[in-house]
Amino acid sequence: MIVLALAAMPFLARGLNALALGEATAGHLGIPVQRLKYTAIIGASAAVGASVAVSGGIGFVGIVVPHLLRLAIGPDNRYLLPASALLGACLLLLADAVARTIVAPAELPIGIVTAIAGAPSFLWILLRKRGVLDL
Amino acid sequence: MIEARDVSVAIGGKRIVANVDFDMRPGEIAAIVGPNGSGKTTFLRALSGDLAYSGAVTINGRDLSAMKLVEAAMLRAVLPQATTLSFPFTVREIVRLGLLVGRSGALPGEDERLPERALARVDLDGFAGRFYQELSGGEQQRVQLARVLCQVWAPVLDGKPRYLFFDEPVSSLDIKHQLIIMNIARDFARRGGGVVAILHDLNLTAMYSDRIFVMHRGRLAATGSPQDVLSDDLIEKVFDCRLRVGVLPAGDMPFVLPQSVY
Repeated sequence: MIVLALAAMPFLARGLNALALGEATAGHLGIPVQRLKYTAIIGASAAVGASVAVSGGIGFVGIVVPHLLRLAIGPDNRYLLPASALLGACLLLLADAVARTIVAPAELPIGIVTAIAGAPSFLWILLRKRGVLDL
Repeated sequence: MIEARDVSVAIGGKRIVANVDFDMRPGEIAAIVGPNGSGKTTFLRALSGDLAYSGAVTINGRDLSAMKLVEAAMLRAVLPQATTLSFPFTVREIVRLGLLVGRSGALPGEDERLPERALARVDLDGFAGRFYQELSGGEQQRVQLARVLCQVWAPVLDGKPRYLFFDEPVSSLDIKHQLIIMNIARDFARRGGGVVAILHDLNLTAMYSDRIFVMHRGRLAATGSPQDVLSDDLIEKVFDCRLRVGVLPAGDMPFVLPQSVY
């Protein structure tokens, strides 16, 4: 399921870029907007569903990583989608290592580690966007 | 050739466009004028395939309602009134989206350079690396125009004319860039394409258009050449204000001088 979603990414990226101009304009460019939206939403839901089935719910990964990366490499989905997948996976590995070692021999729920790192990052992105913070 | 017969559009049960007939040939700039809320944009959206309509529309003899999105995208490009973005795309990324259909009609291998060339045509040389959101309204409008030009770079493809649909292309532009944009439209038409433009400036309309369609309360109030259509009576009635239409000494081009509201 996850592999299928990954394989679909390159085909969706350009259409998603066009969608940034609005649905009408994307349509004028020849993008089948409704089909693209359904494919993207169903694909993302299936991939997330499969991951959650394996690992349980882990918060703050999906909500923080793409936003952080957009600041770093720009909004072009051809690069943003694969980069988000890679950085998301790296962060989870790191969080898992921390969760297993920090209170060894006991084990911390990994969601707590991602929340401790993710919540402040998300707050930072939000405040920056609103112009409250300039860091 | 674009032919629209008896086109009506209703949005939310309210008839916005009623029984409009519209004809244009390649090589022409067709201007749609009329007061705010007279149905100009709604009609153009129907022509673009965005809205359901009753009546018949054909482009190059093909029924618009039977056309696939990609086929329409190869046949015409649409410039909306204004486009705002929520993500920080660069100018180059926006203009490149015009190449998505892949039928710019430029010589093989030239597509890569088209965004830069299109930007140069709209007088935005050197803007490719800038962020779209940081540009002024008029500059953003010209970026969108560059994108649209990339989509139908060649006015004729496989022997068939292509079309530009412009919704108020010059309303946020200074006078120099108004002329530049209208010259691009004229050049596109001269090389065998067609342009449909909603315009508010009646003098620009007189200068550049071959045919004027005057819309009033969703209906077609008049149609014809600038000389035929731009008359004191008609324009005063449609726009509900006092003005005088004159003719420039050199040539027979009409001009419109506003005087007052009633």
